[in-house]
Amino acid sequence: MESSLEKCVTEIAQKPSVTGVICSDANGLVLSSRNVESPECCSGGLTAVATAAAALEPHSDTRPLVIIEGDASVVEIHQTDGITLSVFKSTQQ
Amino acid sequence: MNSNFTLMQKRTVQNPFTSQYELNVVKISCHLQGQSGVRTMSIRKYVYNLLESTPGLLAIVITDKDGVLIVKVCSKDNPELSQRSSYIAPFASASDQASKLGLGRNNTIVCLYDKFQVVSMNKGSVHMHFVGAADGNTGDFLTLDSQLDPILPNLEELVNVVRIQGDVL
Repeated sequence: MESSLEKCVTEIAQKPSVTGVICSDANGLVLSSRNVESPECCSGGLTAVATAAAALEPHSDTRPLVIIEGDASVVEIHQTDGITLSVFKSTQQ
Repeated sequence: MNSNFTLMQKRTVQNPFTSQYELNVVKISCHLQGQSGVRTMSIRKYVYNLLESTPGLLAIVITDKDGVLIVKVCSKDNPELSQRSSYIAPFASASDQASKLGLGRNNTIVCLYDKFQVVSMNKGSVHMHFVGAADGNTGDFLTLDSQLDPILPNLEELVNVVRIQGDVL
């Protein structure tokens, strides 16, 4: 049942510079993850960030893409149909 | 950030039916020292700030392992939740039963209802209950215990002190 989701997450995790992937549901619970040590510790926060960002434009048809930049890594968060996809990338070449 | 907790006031009353001492009122002074200096806040205000900063969270209830209330904060939008304690009493026995499933000691139980959800955590001598909206962020609620960890040792110490006093008398 989850094979298509697992396949998609695996493909994303194999992209260059991608260090981790978390896919969470509308309740902030982990659906699938790759290369993340404790995904349950941050899945709720990632979903909360995506939900809060969407509240900035409540009448918009599309959800915003949230990018959180750190010193050594970047997190890209996008929410579609209640599913939040978070992609961790390394900024170091 | 360093934290220093001082027990300022505690009051226990003796149950006339069981002769057991029960926690009645607790006030703990929490001294949080950050980079800008010393800031003092009560434990209740600390927990209330956590409640206000978490979207979808309606109430935080902290009790000892027998269900005796230690701290209870409720959002302004849902004050009636503070009157319902039916979700607190069964948790202790439910957690004990869940620990017998062969999966180790039970830590957390999440209950989803039509109108709200309750995330209950077993921290040994202290139990924490987080009541949130039915469509709230459960994953976020499950991480709230880490934000209450700074005050957990002092809550456990308080519970142990009260219990020892009750045993002695």
